[in-house]
Amino acid sequence: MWTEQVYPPRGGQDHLGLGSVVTDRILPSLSPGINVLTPHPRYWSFYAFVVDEFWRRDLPRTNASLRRFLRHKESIFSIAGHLCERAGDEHHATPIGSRRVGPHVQEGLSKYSANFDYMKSNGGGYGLYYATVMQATGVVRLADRELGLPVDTVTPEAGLAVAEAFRASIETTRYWRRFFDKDEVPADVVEELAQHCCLCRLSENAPDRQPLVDVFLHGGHASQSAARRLSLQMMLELSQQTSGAALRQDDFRRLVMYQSAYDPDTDEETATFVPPVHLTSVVRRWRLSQLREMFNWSLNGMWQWLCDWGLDKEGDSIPIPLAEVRAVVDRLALGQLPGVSTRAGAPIAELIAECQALASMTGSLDGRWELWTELTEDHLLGLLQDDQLDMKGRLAALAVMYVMCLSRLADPGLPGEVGVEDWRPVVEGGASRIGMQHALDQLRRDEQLGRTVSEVVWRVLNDQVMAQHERVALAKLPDDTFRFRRDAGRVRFFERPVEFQRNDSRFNSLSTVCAELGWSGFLGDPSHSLTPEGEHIRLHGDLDHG
Amino acid sequence: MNKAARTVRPTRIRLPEELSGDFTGVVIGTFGAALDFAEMQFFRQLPKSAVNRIVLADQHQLALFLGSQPPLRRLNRSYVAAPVRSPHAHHPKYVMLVGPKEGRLFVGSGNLSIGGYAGPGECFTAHEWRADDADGNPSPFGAVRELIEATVTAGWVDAVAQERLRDIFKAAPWVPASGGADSPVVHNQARSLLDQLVDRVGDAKVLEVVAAAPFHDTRADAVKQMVQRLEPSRFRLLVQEGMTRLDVGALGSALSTVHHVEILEASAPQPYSAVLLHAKFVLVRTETADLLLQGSANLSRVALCEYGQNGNIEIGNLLRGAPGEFDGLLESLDLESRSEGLSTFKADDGWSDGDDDAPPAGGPTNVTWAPPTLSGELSSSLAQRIEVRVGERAVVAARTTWETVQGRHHFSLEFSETDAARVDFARHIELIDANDDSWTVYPYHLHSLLRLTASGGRADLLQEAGDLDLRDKELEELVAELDRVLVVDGRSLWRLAHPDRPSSEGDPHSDGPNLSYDDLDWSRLGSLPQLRQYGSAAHRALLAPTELGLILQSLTNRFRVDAGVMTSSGDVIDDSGDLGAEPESENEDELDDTSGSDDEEEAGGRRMAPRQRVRRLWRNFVNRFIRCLADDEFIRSVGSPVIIPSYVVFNHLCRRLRVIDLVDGDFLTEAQTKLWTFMWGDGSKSGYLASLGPEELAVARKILSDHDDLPVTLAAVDDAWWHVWDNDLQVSDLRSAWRHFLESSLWEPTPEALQSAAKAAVRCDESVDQLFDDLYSLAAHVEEGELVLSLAACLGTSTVHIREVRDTVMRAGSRSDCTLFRVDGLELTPDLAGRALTLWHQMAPEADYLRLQAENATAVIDLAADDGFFFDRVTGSEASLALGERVVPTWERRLEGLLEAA
Repeated sequence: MWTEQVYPPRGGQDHLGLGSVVTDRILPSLSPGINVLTPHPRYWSFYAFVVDEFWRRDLPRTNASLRRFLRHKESIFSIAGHLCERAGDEHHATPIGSRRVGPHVQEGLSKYSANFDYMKSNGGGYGLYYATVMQATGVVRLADRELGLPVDTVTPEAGLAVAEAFRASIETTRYWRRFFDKDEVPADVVEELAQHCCLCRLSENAPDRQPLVDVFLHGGHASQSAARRLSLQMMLELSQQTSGAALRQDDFRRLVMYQSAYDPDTDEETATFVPPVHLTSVVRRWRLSQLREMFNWSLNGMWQWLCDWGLDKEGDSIPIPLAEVRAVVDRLALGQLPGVSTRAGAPIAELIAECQALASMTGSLDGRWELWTELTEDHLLGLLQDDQLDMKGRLAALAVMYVMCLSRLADPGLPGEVGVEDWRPVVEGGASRIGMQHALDQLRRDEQLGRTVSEVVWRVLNDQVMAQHERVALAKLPDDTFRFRRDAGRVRFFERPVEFQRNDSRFNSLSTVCAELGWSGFLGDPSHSLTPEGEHIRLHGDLDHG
Repeated sequence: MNKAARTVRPTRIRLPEELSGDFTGVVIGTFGAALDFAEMQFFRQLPKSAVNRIVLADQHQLALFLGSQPPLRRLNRSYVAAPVRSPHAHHPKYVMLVGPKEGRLFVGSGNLSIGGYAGPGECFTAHEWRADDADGNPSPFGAVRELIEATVTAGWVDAVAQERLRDIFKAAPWVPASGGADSPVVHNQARSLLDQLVDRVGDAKVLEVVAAAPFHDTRADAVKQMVQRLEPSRFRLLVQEGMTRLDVGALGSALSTVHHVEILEASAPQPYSAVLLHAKFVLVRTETADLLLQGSANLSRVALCEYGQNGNIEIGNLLRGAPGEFDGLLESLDLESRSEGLSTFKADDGWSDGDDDAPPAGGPTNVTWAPPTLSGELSSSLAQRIEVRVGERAVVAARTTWETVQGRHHFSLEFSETDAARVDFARHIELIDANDDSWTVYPYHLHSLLRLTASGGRADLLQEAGDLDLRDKELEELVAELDRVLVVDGRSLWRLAHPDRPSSEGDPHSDGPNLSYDDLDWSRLGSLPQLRQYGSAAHRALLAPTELGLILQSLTNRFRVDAGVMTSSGDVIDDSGDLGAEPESENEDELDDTSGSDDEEEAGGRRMAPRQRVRRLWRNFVNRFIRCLADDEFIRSVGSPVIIPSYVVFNHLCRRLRVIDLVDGDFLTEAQTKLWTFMWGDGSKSGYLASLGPEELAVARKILSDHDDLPVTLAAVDDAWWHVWDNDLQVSDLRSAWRHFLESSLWEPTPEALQSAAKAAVRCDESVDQLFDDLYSLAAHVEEGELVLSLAACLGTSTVHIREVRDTVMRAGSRSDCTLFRVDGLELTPDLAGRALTLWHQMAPEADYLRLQAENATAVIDLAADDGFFFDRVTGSEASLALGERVVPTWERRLEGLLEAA
């Protein structure tokens, strides 16, 4: 009997297992409680209010009961967000469930059902996105039967404070007075509610703003709130220094990495960011997070290159001898890259030195990393993204990007200079997820042994791309996400999508938090000046207490 | 669609999903062995009862695989992968699962790999036997057994693998010693496969031969002999352009005598186009029957026409059926006649299936680890010398013996305790022979393998207790295993006492059964291995082979790696840390689309990662032991032989759980504080250790020392202190436990322990000074309000009358900000002020300016200026004031002594 293909081919993501190093390890330590899916502070107070209302009612203390109650309130909250009179292009506060609620409100109904199926998740946006970060910031306590807590509850201090403040925000509305528990709510009642509870109204000194400010500045464990304060302070500093420039995520990435942003169409510098001394440490760690993204890009890029190359050679029909891959590496077209004169057969030390010279590296993790030199990681990224290189040039660019990222960290005195905590993003990933430290150690060994550029690139391609992909794909079984597999000295390719992307940098979330808490304009708008409170936090890192 | 025109393809086999059953062992015969696939996927699909797992692989292919991969985690610890050192390739492909009452056997073309077992280009035939099936035919199993025993008899298989194979068949006595003459499974150890095929065809006229294989021999000998002996009227050969390795000229010559030859371009049907058809078969059609030889043998002389030492080791299904019975094999393919035959065929010219002869791999064989002895064999042509390296470090045997038997040197190296631990922990070792040739070797871990079959559970996971570097599912299984092996609380005892009755263990929220310890039959319990092993804890040699010994060794070894005493083997092939987990979408809608799973239901609409469940299980497990520490009756009943090793286990575990962030840090701090307080005492009572008699105490101290409990505790205290500090938590309990720890006369810290702890503690950056500073600051820490409380007690007043204020005072002629205490409603006297300020100094030795201010007087000690006075506001008089002698607390003296020693 013939065998069946047992493991179904799947698209899969993160084929080298590198993405989670940034999303699960580095970024949570930089902005605890604020992730890509939790950008709106007002959800903290809205959900706290709903959970508190649940406990005030004689309802079964079960998760199912809380879910039903919560969805009943959130559907109207979401509809209200869409009916906000500000809603439009300038309305940055898109509520959860807009994919279904958006078309729904376009129908112009006279009344809305609180049972409208605004999203799929049983637990609503609370269960899906916010519950865990609300616990981490000390607003709710999640159910824990071991502790005798059958269902989530608000905490007696911060949780209750924000819940009551939200209640105060809507206490005059007809919705709260007459329709809160009703299944149908007239459209004009929802419209009135919107003027009080929309996410965008928080910054207008809504009653829940101040308690929320306190949550974002001080909620959760001290070390986490301290880390969050520093990142928010950095964002406000960034906001202040870039006033007049509309920032996008790529600008943010460049500003923390190179202290400079530019218009890709004109190459004109659009913004600069010189962090003050008191933000040195936090900016350093944000910079390393973006360096890690570049490093990941170089490895993921090599993986993609190999897949493209193999399929181009019809390696999905007939497996290609590994020797052929090696031969391409031996002919690495470094000459296609601007300024690079090192050749594939030269010692790797030459390429490291050339990278350091081309990027005008200072050997420090602080201060300006020149963006306007002959070659940088950003420049290489641009060449790769714009398809300006042929197949050989692509591999060369990725290899140089890899070496360049590690060359930034080459000074052995750096870990001691910046301390364990700031160096942590370099170490994260270890061997299994190819930490930069792990890669750096190997590169140093290559350098000591006098290995050539092509030998090193082959090692990287072999160990950190091919073996790593196989390891990750094996771990993903029974979903078959193999894009290639080595067997008996050959490599067989499988035609499946090979796209990859960088992780979200959290720029949008942090920027939204700063704007909706009333500290700054949206950084995506050209005008994003700081409010007095925002300015105070920028300068002092916190608000005065007592 | 026209139904009649639609081709119905025969069903395909899904091998990895056909493995369930009441099996106790599995033997896999294979050419290449992708052991990473085996460890990370295939073995996980085997039934848990199938604990005896043996892979017999071609020696060269195995060496190639191991040489090209990072170290494997479980090789020769929880399963055996033995090289078969036959003169030609070990090339059979079978998976044989057997148990006492049933068996399942797959014989076919696929090697142990994803493509081999789960890809679409292979053929397998399944054979089953069940005790309750009167018509069952065990002969296929007998044929495999015969093949295996022939390789064993030939001396091609290592001794440990031989033993394991014997165990396999011992557990399945129904497997006959051979397949017999008519078995549907045949091998080539006594006769060639072609001979057996020709025999079964007999005198029947062969109408047609249909043959397929990805590899032919270069001279087309196999096809030539087939044609000569079967004399078919028609020969149909299946090939794949660019993939089949054959010699066009030689094949043309071999087929020249056949009247009708058809070359068919074969491909798997959609969606499997472009798949290499790795299956090999010869279908012989006669007028009365069809015969199918399908298995491992390619169309090569060494596979098909030779036998015994002259051929590869091959196996196949040799099936007889009515005409057309096996046509499903061809109907599963898209076949297209090549009108030009092979004239334009582009053959694969480089891909070897290893049929070619290869020189013997050489190197040490039979390398076996039975702590503290490493044994093995070398060719007697070499001088009697062997070096052992673990990582970068050479380990030197304390005693070496050599014996030469039948052309082989047998070596036996006995290591010191420390080096034995290094060898034990290493994933693999390096052996260097007298020619300075270096061999990477995965010794057979005899104790681990034996333990595995003895327990019937996942004892292999116990070896991971130190690392805890596992997938979530395995972390769950490991908790269950630890629960099975360890005596954690009354529930464990109940289960031991009533093995046949269901306990409430499945309910994590249960407090367990009501248990009266006096009702237990202690003499019977004491004879059970689960309790007996505790009695061995102080005797290394006795402890080592037990499951408790395995856990303790794993935990201790892991700590020693953290402490830099031992080195790990570097990266291993595994998927720990959920390497394969797909990242959560960063898009709100995408995430919503994937919501609504069962997990989410369980968590109240919240997305609950599997890790959350694992976290909870581990927390509950730790909590059970912590809670039982308050159960005096349990403690008394089981006594120190159980309590001390259990304490060591949980002390290690808690530290590791914090390091890998598997359990909430707050919970761990509380658990550890209780653990240490239990063992070392607190202000109100002395600890458990102090309650032991001299003999018990000596044994307890040996167990603690053997497993590095002291440095573990130092590192764990430091980690806990950082957690408390980072999170602004209450320090007093931890500080109290730490102080009592220091004050205990039973505690004898050494400089070595401090150095190990400094390396293992997460935040110390390997600095002893940093560790000392941390530990000192914890012991000396004064909580907010604590000073006020102590001053109030000293002054005989209430805390409400004492206020801490910042003020500006004149010091040495200039204004200076300082902290002072205002005392209301109290008449301060010089004596009272002196005692209070001395107490203040005692509690906050870093403060250099101490000032008390009452309505009637001000008392000041300025340590920087070496000045002190008492000013009576009522009389306007001033008197000098000095601190009383500072009583250095015991903990401080012990700490300073330790620092000096370090």
